[in-house]
Amino acid sequence: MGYPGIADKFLELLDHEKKPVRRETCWVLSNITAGTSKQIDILLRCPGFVKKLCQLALTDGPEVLKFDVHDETNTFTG
Amino acid sequence: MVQRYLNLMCMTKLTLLQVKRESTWVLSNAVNHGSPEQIRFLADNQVIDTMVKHLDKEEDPKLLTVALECIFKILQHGVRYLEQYEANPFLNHLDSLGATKLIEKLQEHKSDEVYKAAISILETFYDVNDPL
Repeated sequence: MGYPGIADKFLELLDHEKKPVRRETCWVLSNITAGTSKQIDILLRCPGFVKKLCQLALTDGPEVLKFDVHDETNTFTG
Repeated sequence: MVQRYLNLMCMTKLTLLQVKRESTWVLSNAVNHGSPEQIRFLADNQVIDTMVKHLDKEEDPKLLTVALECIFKILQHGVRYLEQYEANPFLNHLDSLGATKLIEKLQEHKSDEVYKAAISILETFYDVNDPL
């Protein structure tokens, strides 16, 4: 477990201005959380980490996709 | 392994999609692979609330399924507190968020996966004849 500060670095990348960077960071993280509980602990011990992920899970979607979904809804209801 | 594979499928099929989906995967994987203490920590730190919000707002069937499976796993973990609290604490929390109605509604979802995931929660953790 010799990677001090790596969770903080990930947390920074989750706030990166470019969406692909945020997305790829999540992908890396999803592989870490599919690992052992020791590995998961590296992330959970970092204050604010879970909070940040929850926030991204609810808000960070591309605008274009939102329009697609909206159009479909109109087709179904109209 | 299955999760990694699904994850890869998401990456190739929907390359534009989506920080939202990927970050949900991070949380869901942690719930699936974490120790009991870690699942408790996640459940107490907004993960239940986040998944319930997905059930309410989300249209993507894949994301809905992941959210439902994550809730299933948390409830399953809650069973171990039955003696201590005389109830599944996470079931109570879900109910206070209005999740029961949302899950019931998802039984009618057009996606097979979503409907099956919703049914298995209701059948496993709710008394089907006497819903809360």
